[in-house]
Amino acid sequence: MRNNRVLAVAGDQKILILAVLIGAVMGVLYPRFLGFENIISILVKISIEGVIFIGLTYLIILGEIDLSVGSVMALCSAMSIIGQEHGVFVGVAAGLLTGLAAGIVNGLLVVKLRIASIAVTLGMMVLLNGIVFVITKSLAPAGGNYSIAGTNPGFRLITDTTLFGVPTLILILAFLLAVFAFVLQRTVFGRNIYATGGNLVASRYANIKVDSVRISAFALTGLLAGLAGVLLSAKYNIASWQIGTNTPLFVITAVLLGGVSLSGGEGSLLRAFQGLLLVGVIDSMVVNLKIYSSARLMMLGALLIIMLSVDGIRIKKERYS
Amino acid sequence: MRNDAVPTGKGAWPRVSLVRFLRGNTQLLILILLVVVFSILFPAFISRKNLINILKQSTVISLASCGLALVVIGGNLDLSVGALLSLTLGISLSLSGIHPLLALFVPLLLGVGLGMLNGTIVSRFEVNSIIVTLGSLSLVSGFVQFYRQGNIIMGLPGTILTQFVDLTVFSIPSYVLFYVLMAVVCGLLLSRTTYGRKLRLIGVNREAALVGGINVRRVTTIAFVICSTMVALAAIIQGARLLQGSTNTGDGLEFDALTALLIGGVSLRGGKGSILNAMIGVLLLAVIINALTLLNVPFEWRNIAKGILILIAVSTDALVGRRNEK
Repeated sequence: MRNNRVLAVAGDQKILILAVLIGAVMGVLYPRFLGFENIISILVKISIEGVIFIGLTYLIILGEIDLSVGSVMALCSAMSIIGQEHGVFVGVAAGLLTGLAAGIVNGLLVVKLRIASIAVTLGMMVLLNGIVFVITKSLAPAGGNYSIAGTNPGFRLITDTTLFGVPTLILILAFLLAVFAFVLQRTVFGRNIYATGGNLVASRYANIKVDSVRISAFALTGLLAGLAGVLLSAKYNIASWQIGTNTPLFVITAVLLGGVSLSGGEGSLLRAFQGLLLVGVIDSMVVNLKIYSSARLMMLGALLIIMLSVDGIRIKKERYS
Repeated sequence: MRNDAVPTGKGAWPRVSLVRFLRGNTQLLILILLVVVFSILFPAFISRKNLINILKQSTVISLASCGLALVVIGGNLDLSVGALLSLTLGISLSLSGIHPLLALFVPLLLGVGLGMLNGTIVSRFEVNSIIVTLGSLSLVSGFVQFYRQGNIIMGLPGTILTQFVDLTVFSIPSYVLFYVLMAVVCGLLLSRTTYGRKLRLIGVNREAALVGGINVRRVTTIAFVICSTMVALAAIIQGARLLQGSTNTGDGLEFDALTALLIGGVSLRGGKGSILNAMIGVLLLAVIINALTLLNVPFEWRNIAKGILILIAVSTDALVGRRNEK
């Protein structure tokens, strides 16, 4: 019996265990891997996509999906690069408001017109990518690769500052994770999200304002994608139409690795964060082992498929035993 | 009218009158309307050369959309088609130097294999197909980049494959005829066979299909296998046509094919639509892109047009659907 319980816990926390395991093995092979600097760099790498990750976790628990987050992030980074000429605050506001607006449009289309979210956000993904291309091409110097850069050094301080040696990017992500995990677990809004994702019709009969919950979640995801765009332009000082094309796939993979079910109503933000952490650790491993970065993609894909199969076999066994 | 959820036996086909047919196929009406308008506006549009060009450029997306339509009508989604195209294109090109038959059969086998993998995991473990194919997308495209490092791959001219591709019938290239033939085959499979009816029933109501004793596992897996095989065929043809390809040739094909399906009137919720809808969607997309080129609209506006098209298509579909409900 006891053995079974150990196995159950291991099965429950397999992603975290895997991340720790990779970390331990890499730490033995390369002592620098577990050093402060490397851990910081792992966290910095996942922090921008991590901000989007929070929004997508909310949406997936709600039973919806957003493919446009990458394009929204690219658009918002372009907006904040344009806006920062008029001051840091204008730059930040331009990015955030654009993201919020895109999220609200997504939400209204999905909820009011009752279209599948994957179809709406696919359209928005393509549309916004086109808009970013038009904007950056018209502003970029001729002959380049159509990317634009900002000129306000104050704007870059947002991400270039550190507190006790920890970059602000990590602090922002940690703060957001804490706030949104609290909101999801301990507030009415969070509970409504679980309820709506679990059973939309039943939630409507239970007098939950299902429509406004769903629109708010889309707006929130847009706003967070906007924030990711602002952070991106501050950190790397670039906006281009090629940014963000892989983001939805990466982030959705991380959320799913973190044990959130696409059918909605299940999962928790902090547990899902383990999935993102695993992505970061694998990323750093790839860099340290000096294998091609494409191997990262391959490993994530293989991992996702293996996980699904293992889960599938386990669920089948439980059902028929 | 072919959009009827489930055809119920032989006598159930409605009597075909042209007006009724067009009313049931708004997208076809729009396509005809656009072709007429564009022919009046730009004489260059209706030229034989331009029309054949449109057909030529639609090769890959037609084959992919036909295959994907089967998967989507069966209630699933396959996001791995773009990555599979890059993979099979690269392999077909590199093998064409060794033996043309290898360049034909190895990609086809890979297609069947990936389809089996996707279909088996989706139907056996009952996992959402988006997650499964997202995984195989990452797996395959990571492998492609790993294996080719972004280089251009050249093919060998003068093989039996390139000879086939160079054939023309009344100046229509053989591969255009080939994909039209494949579309007809898929269409017949969907509308005229028991397999097609089972697939559509699964798309409409999976539980009912299970209770009704349909082998959901097998039917779903076959749909995935057909889809991947069609993509492999597209890659072989594309390789023989262009004799070169790179690791990112297939990037975004899944979204382009989904766009074509949505514009053509295949619902992503499953069960609704036909291969005719898919092909109309492909042509609508191609005609509009072609008109943008003739209008000298800069390249970067193309995605804006595509995005607006998708949003209009899904919104009108939702609005019309809601009106019919009342």
